[in-house]
Amino acid sequence: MRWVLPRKDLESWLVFLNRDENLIVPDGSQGFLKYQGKVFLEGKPRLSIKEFFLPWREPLLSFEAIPGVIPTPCLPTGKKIIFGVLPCDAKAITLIARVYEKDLHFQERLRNTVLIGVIRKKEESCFCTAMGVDPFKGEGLDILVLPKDDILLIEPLTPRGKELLPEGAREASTEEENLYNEAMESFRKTAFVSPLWEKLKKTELLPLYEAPFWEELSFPCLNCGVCTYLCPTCYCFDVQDEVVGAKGIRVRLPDSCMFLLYSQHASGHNPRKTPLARFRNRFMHKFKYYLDEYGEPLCVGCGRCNDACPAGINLWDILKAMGEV
Amino acid sequence: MYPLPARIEKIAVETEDGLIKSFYLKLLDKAKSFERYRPGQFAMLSVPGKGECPIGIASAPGEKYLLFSVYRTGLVTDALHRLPEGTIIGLRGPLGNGYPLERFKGKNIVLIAGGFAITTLRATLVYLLNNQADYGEITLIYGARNPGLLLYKEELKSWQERKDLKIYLTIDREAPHWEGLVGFVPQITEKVAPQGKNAVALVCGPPVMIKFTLPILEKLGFRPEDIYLSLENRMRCGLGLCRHCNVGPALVCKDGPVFSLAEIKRLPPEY
Amino acid sequence: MNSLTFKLREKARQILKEGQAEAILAFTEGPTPFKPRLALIKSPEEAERIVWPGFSGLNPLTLWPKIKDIKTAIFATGCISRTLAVLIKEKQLEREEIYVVGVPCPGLLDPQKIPDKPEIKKIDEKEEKIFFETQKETKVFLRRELLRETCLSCRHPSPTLYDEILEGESLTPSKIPFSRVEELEKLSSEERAYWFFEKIVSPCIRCYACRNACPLCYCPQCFVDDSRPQWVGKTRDPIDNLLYHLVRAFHLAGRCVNCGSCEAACPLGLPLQVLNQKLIKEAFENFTYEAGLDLESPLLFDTYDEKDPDDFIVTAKRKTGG
Repeated sequence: MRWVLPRKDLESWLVFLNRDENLIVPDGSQGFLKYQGKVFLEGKPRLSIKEFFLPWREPLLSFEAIPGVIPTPCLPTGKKIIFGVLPCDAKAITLIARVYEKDLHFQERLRNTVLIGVIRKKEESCFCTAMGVDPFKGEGLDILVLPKDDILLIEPLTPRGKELLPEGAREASTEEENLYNEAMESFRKTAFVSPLWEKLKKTELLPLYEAPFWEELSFPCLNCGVCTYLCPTCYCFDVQDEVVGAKGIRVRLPDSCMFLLYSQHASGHNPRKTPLARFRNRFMHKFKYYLDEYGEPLCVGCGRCNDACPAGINLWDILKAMGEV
Repeated sequence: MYPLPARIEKIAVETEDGLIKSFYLKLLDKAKSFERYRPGQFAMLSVPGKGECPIGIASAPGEKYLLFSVYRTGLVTDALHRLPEGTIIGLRGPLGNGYPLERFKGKNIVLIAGGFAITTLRATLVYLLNNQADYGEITLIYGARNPGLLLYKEELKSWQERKDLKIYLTIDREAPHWEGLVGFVPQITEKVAPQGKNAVALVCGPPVMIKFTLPILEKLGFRPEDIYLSLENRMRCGLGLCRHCNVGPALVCKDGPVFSLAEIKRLPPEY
Repeated sequence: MNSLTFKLREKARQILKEGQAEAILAFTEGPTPFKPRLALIKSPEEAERIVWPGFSGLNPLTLWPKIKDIKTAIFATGCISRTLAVLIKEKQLEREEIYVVGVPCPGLLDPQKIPDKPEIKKIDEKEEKIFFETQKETKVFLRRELLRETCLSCRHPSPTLYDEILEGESLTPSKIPFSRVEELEKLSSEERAYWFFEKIVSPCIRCYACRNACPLCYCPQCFVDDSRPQWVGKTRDPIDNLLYHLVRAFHLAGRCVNCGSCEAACPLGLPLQVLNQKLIKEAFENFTYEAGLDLESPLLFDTYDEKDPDDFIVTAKRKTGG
């Protein structure tokens, strides 16, 4: 069953959601921040919600910097509600969750974070459907909201989502249900699932790895971390011990497979020394290694990498080249 | 998975150059995790303030201490080498797959080690000697640049006295007072290794040793499925999450570190 | 077609035919008009892919380390030719290794300056006018409305170093090269610190696009990657972010040629070039030095003159109470 809230009542819903002061919303073009009375539901935030599951700094242990003292484990605390989530970003979290099935920190954050998705206008750089993502399915979301004219059509997807429905919401009429269904159907009609990655399931690994196209396609790449840090599905991390005075913490932080140091041994040996090898590794992970293991690509088609790449590299060119092997 | 506190009960400097030290550890609490493990598995040694590093477990299950022989090469191993006996460090594991020893039952086994890479093969050998009845003929071929760089010297002596083990120690060039073989591991392997039929070979050593040993094993009739190698790659988590150690689709920390040559041949050369 | 694109293609074909170089490092058509992509062009036929970069502020010399054993030509505007001069003086490449086609620079454009960016199918540049073709209409902007901040501050739009130069008119050299810095200098030190934290330090995600897009950031191992000793933490901790940006700026003091590649590469659009411009201003005002204007004069840090201003040393003495 779906619910209806007049758009003008959105703010009161947000105030209700923020009763424990733990509401996170898109703050404009950069990313998601604590709710301060404003919410932006147009355009695509440059940063996804990944940082609330794999934070920029995730303390794992705290310790006294004296040898022999036993460190104390840290676990993330506190519940959060994130409103205005892009359905593709939520789907991305479900893709990571498969890998992080047994990770205490990730799972704790997953348990403690409610995700309320809002369907946004498709942008030029969006290609979620091509990756097999259907925003109307609301995978990974607790509630899905479809703004339509002056109302919000609200679909609770989980029991905890149901508990957070706005007080002023009323049940959708048949007409309003139809509005939702029409929007969904017209979207699905234009949806185009790329056959490229489906095909890659059958492509042999080594010929793909050894294909000559990597050389030309990786040439412009600067091997910076833009694509990996902005990607809602990239999940590699580094672990660092940080010591200030007598106290220290062991933190987990995002890392990028584009960086030389990522695979460098203490001895100096590096199995992915060349920029080409690192570039290839990223796309092979997304469209072959992960795909072979989980049956879906590790990409939700948000388009952030294409938007932000300073070198003009486009994921489609690579996927196309891979599909031709 | 958090590190468990373990005390360094004993430290032994293994090699003349002082770069390899053996740490004999005991867990403070009777943690179940290290009660059973497979030779070939590894653990993360943790020094708070410096970080963690993956080290192969050199002791066999059931031995008095958990043994780690550590080559000083990076930030964490350097810190470890500075610690005195009695220090409590962190131990996280056991991690990785280890050698599929039950698959080796009834077969002849040759362990081929070069330099300090003997560590997990020591664990394997101790295990095999304890379970002699299950296996065929056991051979150890162990080489180092010079006698001073051989690990576990006392033990090597006692193994040489055993009747149930064929042991061949070799050094690269003649050295005073050396009574063992002289020559590189691949050459010795060619002379002394058993035929590949109904046998498995476990090979650990520097890349150049492995490179020249593999063709010899194949010549002796070892199938790629019966040759086992242990890979090393930079790793952070040891749990299959951080992806630093991937060799194509395989993660050294989770799917390895032990791979058969047949498996390795199906992977991109990222090690 | 953009007249500069036409000229570049024509010249590229000629060079590859006549053999002044075997390859050309140039921008080619990318996935969108805003995203041209660098490529190594090796045949006259491939030269048809070349485009004038227009909206890409990336300095092509960033990719120079990837080019090996092939005599390569490059199209050099003012800042690119100056980058080249610095690289040559710092012994990163030999003058003979590269064939330089000077391009009088009309200035590059900033996609962030386009008001309510429509879905653009095609972009055309005709001298002072920029045409955006959308599905429905063609919008016209004036070049100066869309010029990158860096280009607005450019004192040397014409190439300073070349083997041959294309005809054309470059942008008028800026009369306000340090306006962004001067705006900040008007503020109190607290306000400046606040600006720095708000605009750069706190949003930075440490993706190192700025470093990797900088052709003069060529250290084989950057100080942020050292682990023994570890100079700076790796997370987004504000202190570490601050240290990263300040040290990077200092490493470029007397070297930065104001190409703005760092700022153009930043995925968050942070005003990174302002830091470099502050040091460019210091070098200019204190030592009348500008990087990369010729191949002969020594590098700023290679020179010493007794008359060099040293008031900063005096200040330091006072502070330590000497």
